Amino acid sequence: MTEALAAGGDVLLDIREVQFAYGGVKAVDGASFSVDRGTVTGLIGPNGAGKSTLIEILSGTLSPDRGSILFQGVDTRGWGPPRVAQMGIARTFQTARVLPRLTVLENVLVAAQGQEGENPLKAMFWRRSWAQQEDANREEAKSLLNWLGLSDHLEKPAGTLSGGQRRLMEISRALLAHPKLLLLDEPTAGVFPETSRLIATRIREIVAQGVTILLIAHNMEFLSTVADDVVVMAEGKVLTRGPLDSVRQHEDVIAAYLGVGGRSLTTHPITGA
Amino acid sequence: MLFFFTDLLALGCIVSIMVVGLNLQYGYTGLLNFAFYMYVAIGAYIAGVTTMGPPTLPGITYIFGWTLPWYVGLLLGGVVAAAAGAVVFAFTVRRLRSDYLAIVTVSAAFIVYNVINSFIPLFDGATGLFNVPPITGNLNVSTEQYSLIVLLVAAILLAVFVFISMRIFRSPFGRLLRAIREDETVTSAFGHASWRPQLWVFVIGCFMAGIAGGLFIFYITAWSPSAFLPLESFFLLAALIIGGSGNYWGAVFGAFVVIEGLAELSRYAPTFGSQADAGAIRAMIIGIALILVLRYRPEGLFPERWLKWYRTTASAARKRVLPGRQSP
Repeated sequence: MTEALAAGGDVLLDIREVQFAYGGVKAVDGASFSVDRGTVTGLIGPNGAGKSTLIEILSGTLSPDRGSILFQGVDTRGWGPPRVAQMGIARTFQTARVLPRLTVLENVLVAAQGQEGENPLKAMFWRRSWAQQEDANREEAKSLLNWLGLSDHLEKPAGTLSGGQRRLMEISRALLAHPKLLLLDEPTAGVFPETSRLIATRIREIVAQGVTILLIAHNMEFLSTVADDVVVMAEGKVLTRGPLDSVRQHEDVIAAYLGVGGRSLTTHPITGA
Repeated sequence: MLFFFTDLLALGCIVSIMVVGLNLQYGYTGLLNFAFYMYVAIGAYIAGVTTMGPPTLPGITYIFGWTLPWYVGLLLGGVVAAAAGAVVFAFTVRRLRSDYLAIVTVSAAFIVYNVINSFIPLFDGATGLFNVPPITGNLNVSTEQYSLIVLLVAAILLAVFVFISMRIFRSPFGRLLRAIREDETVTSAFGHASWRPQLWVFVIGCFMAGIAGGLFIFYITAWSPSAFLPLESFFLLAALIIGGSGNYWGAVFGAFVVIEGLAELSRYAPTFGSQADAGAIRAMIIGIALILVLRYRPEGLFPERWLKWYRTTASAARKRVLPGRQSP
């Protein structure tokens, strides 16, 4: 199964037979696939397929009941989110999470890694030891926010941002962590089409700079623009993987979306035909 | 008249140190600590028993009975309060949040209060400590002069602690604390284990409480359980919320106006029955003020956002674009 679903290149992330249950309900049931370095892999599937649970597992928020997660060959199973993040995995959330009373710029700066000024003693008594690094981080954060069209909102409390702006801010924040792997959980959900197109453009540019992306999306047009490869999940299992056009035609995928023996729909949920 | 003002200001500075410490814990980090006054009491008792010498009167008993200089006793009070804070943190704060944390801290305050009140060998039980030597030692100074000297010391220490609060607020450490307050899931997802910065700020806040307690006992030269009823922590929290939680100037303002100002106001308010009602009137006034602020200005009179120190120019940000990234 693992071999069948491997992308075949330079593997950055290898998920093997991962299982996770909420009480008695199996949310992820033996999922296996790999993600190649420098690619965008889409993770799709109907509601309840286990996609978001898998992202929570990959980011360390949930610990799998069984299976392993090899990131750069190291098994991260059971690691908490801080350790996973320090390994180079950054994420956005299914519902955009902002720190409402902090400014947009501060929200992004929280993600910078290895900040000397987070040492309490240096913070209180030795400003010079971190001032230069802080200035550099701030400039980079401003640059990222500018790149994602939020330069007019730097000093606003993040709680005042709209849904789409929050998504963009989250991506900026994740990028400031200089991740090797970026997990994007529905980055275009509830987002204006123009912003969605901006996100798609930026995702391709991020990948071009060597960052690997695993993203959940329901918007097939968006996915066709950004994803090199798509992994389809249903009922906690991986059904298939491949280019979006080919998985769209896969029998199991169509059955999973329509429901085997379910009533017929006037519009095909994946192809739109 | 001079004494009235120096006394008011000296007490105001001491209470301000407490509220500035509480602001680090609650205002910056969101740790709801209803046992804060417990650390003030620990600082006061330790400063007392390490400087007042062994008991001389029959029936009086307390630990240590050392004769250290007042400033060493003061520092020890702060250190012991900080150590107590670290222990309480390990058993409560690290595992609990919000209302659960509040319940446990209230319980901790009652436990410590009752232990000190009932276990006489520790700090002489309900009688407490008295005849604590003043910081002027054997110098012959009047009450007015002593008040002025304590005011000077308290004001210097308050300035130091406000400066430290400001440094923390303006640093990445302070930003991290406020981020943890807003959403620990986010900070955790970016590599920060919440408990470490929380432990630091909890200990620093307790140290400030201990120092304030030490100053208090040196000023009034006595301390007993009646001085640190659990209700006092609520007053400090009310002062912080009214002044502006998260803003160190708001904390100072709250301490002076809510704790000292309203205490004086209630002293002159018409009493119903007896003078003892002044305390009850003070509590009522603070309660009403708290309700009004929460209703009409929940951020407090000096909101945290007024401290915003990033004054970046959007135009400057637009000019700086990372290599390989073009502005949309």
